Amino acid sequence: MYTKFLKLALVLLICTTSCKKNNNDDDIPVADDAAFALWIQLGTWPNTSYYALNVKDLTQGSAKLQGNGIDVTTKLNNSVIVKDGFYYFYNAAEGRLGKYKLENGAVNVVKEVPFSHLASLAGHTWVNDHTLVMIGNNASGNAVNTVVINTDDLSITTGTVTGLPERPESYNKYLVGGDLQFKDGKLFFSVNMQNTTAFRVYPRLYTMAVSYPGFAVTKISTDDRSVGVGSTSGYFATSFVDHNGDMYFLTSWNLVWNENGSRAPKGIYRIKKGEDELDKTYYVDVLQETGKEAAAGVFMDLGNGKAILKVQETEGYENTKFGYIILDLATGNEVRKLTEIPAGASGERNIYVEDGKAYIAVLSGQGTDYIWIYDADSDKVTRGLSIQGGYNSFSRIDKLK
Amino acid sequence: MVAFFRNKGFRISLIFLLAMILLQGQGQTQRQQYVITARVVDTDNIPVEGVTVKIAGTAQSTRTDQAGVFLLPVPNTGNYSIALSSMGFEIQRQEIKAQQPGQINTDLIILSRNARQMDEVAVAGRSETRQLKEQGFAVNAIDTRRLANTTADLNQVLNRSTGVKVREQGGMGSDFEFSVNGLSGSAVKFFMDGVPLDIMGSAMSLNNIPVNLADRIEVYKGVAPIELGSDALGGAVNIVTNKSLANYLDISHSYGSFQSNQSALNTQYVHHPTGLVFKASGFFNYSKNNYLMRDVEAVENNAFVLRDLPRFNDRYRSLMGRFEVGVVNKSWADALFIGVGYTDFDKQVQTGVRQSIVYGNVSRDGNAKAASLRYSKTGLLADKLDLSLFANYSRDYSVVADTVLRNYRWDGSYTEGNSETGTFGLATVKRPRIFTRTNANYRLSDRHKLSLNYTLDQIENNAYNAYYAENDDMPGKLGKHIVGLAYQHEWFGRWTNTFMAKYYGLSTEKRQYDYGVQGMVNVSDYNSYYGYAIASVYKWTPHAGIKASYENTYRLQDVNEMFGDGFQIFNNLDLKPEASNNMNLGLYYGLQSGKHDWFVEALGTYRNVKDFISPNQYANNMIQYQNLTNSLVRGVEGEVRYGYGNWLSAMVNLTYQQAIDNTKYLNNDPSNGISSTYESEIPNRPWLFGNFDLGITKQGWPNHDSRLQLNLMTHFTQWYYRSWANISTENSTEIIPKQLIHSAIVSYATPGGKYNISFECRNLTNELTFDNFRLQRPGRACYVKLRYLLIQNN
Repeated sequence: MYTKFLKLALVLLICTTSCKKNNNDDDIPVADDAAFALWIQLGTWPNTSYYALNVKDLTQGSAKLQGNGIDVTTKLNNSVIVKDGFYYFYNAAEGRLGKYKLENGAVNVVKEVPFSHLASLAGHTWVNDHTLVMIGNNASGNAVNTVVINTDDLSITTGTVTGLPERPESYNKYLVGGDLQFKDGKLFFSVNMQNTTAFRVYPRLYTMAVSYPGFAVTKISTDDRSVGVGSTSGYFATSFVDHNGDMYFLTSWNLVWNENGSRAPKGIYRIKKGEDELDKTYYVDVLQETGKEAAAGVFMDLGNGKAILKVQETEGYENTKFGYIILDLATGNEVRKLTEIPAGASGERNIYVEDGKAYIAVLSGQGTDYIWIYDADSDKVTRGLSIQGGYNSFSRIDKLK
Repeated sequence: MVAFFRNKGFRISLIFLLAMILLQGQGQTQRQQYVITARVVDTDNIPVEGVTVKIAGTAQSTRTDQAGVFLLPVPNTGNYSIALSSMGFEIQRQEIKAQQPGQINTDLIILSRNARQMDEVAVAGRSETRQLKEQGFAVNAIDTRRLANTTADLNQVLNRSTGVKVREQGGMGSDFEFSVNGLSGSAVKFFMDGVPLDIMGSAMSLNNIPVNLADRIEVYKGVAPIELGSDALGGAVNIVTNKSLANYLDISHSYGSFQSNQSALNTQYVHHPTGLVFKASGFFNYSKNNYLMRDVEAVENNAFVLRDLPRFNDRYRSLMGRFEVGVVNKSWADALFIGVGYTDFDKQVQTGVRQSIVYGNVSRDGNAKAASLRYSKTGLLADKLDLSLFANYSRDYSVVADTVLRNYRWDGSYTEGNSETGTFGLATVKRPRIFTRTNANYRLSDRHKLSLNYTLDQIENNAYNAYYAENDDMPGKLGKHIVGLAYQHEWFGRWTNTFMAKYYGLSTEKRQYDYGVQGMVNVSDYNSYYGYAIASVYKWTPHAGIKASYENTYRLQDVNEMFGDGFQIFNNLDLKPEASNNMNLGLYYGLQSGKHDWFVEALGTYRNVKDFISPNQYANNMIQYQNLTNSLVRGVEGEVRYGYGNWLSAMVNLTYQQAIDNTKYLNNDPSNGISSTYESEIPNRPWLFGNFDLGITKQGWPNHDSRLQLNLMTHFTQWYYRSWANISTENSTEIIPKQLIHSAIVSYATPGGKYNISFECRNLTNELTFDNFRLQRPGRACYVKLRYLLIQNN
């Protein structure tokens, strides 16, 4: 009887373990290495996953994530920095800086080094093709730390910015701007002073010129019309130096700045070529100019004196739909809204700009999503690549080749 | 809106309790109470538990306890005719004399075994646990007394039962996820003797309660009896402690791998002349948890290398002490007890959600104090009404300390870095809590019964960072009022139905900063919800039946989920409770033939959960809790038990679960379109797992009445996906591999079970085992346990 029982148990076990398909045995096609990676987010916490979908052409054809998404969840997140087909990612929680490449349908580690000098990555800029500068708070938030990375071998030089403006009493932390740009041989970025217990910032924007590679503040200019910082953390892109050598940045990360709980307006500033201070004659209050609140935040140079700005369909924080506006950089005036593009959800950095064209990934909520292409020269919007839809977000579009 | 009434329910319950005591006291002058009692043993003088004792011609019945003792109150003196029945024994009828309380002599009744089943049929396995399994509820009933000599905690015991999956993040005291039929987290509620386990504090959890403290564990799947008075979405676990009236002392200590020490004490003294009972229980757990982590990253020469390294920040210590004093078997109370309890825990935390996030200086500790009162009385209103009341006040305190700015590696080295958890300081939570529960059962007739439950559970949540502040100036209060009404009837002696209706009242209150008035304001709300359930069983033979149950149930919202924090978490007054439709359909069949004893059961489960509450993150890191997802979990599970004589027992069970993302529209918002994961299998969940246990007992070896026992246990978990299946490329698809863990226990008990020693080895083959998100679990671990057990039967 006992042997019968054992046999029964064994049969039951074998039967049920073999019943289920092991999907790993299925042939899942591996996408070829391609020109672009579209980052797609799926699922709800705690099963949120990020996938990079390789696509050859953003302007036409169709793509499907199923079976083709490179699962990047455990190695990367969408705050990566991309250049020349490599991803650079600072994982603050694990104390790791790495260089990665998407190959053979997977994330391959080129190199990883121990690194924990920044509380988090606030901003980055390229000093040259091999030198990446990143800034962020120190761990306690009372200083701004820096790192210079040789991206060929991931050798790093860490430092701290000296000469930051003094913090007023009770404002215990710097909110460091990701609006970091390299212009005229210097670095430029902004800070706010933050009271972390009252969740409030001091109502003054401090923008600095900082020497490179000494990281000493050489000039501080202030403005009280808007208080906030941009972000080039990798998640977002809110500053650039245009072809004239002028730097523009958007304050898109705006906290409460007064006692009645309102948040500072989002504005665009300029520092002209050869100058170390804010251009006092230039300020664009985005809401006043366009009637829309700037999203947090994509503000990208189209290269012909125009820029594309992502805006919220509704004001405030509980918004999920976005629109896109073309601005004339010199005047700060709105050229037009891209009404051809349906208002839809999107991820943090859903726009890629190249050769005067903006490629915009929009979640339609209609089953099929599209890459919309705005051509600044012809001022026309066309519909490009279609993607089988239903995703949480399009977080990034990156050029890999 | 109904105003939030602090302490009101508590006061009502207390007044009700006092009134009942007074009323009963008055009744005493008019009517003398008597009892009939006896100790039931078999022909070998071994106490027989679970014998049904029924007074002839009435509906009044009871069962014998662990010591074989039963006690029934009766209104008059004189002789009563009783019938005693238990499987494996001849039905026995006899006269018994009623006695006055306080002057009790316990008679001895000897039951004869059923000749057909001979005297080798093991009785214990068919007592209360099997009777529970034969109810309409889908329930796992585990007789933990059989495991009392093992070093297992309750999680390990439950993980071996069907439909249950416990995923621990590490060794002793580690965080765990307990799932019943695929639902976990706050969907499953835990109770001890029908009272929420966590009112005794955070240390009181299934991963550190020693098995000695429990007599039995019941796992209700999907549909739970109203007596538990909970807003459980997916099920309830009830730990039942020893209720016998014997004097006993159960003391044990175990020592094993990773410097693990576990002590447990469980004792009771009954002073029969006065009916006074003193109960004490406690445990102490300690472990370094310094098990070896394989192939983890260390830093050498400023580069990452893979090494096998011990965990270095995972020490765990917890203790619990509980004392109760009361009286039993009075005319005005079957039991009236007051009790105090204290729990304390101190735990280091080694990793974040992934093992690549290493903590070196994070700890969590806390304590809780509780005072309780319980009262029960059966046989009120001409033996029709049974009443039980419970009230508890507790203060729970816990703090997560993260006070260094460092980035640790597995070799224990560190560099300056962020706060380890991301929340620098001393995240402190203080929770004063009032809990009252009233249960009343009214027998309309022999076969019809009404039950009523009212539970008030009121928690004030004070959460603040003690590094910067001394208290929470924005505390939240949550009051749950749960009323359950059940009607049970039995048709044709074969078919039993239980119909249940539930009311859930949720009062929430929070102090919040309001920018409009530039000051603190109180915000509050009250919401009502209604649920219902049915549990049905049809027995076509005394030991074979089919059962089905259905429930429409809720998990109520939390204060912070509704009101947020005013800064980084938005409020959401439209938030709904998580709701579920649960269905079970089961079969069971028991067969005895000669020395063979079989029990087979199978269960199909269906859980349709809507409106899971999850944080929705907006672009600027602002969060709002919303009803974002739905899921559909279907499963089948089966278990076969076999016993041969009293020397062999075997069990095999297998559970298959399919959890589907049932969120049609992304974030449950139709304007977002159809979700790409709609109807996909939810990742990071085991979908097939099972157990095989084999027990061999040698009675009377090496000397008469001693017992040597060998248990072999195998736990199997099939591989599962770490993230969504069929989305990723083959090369980037991550799976949690298949796991097969073998354990063995050898135990020896001296005659009468007074002295016990056992050796236990878990994960014999030292297999690399994982849990959530591939967190490594301990390798081979061995323990020795010494136990002294003294039972004095009156």
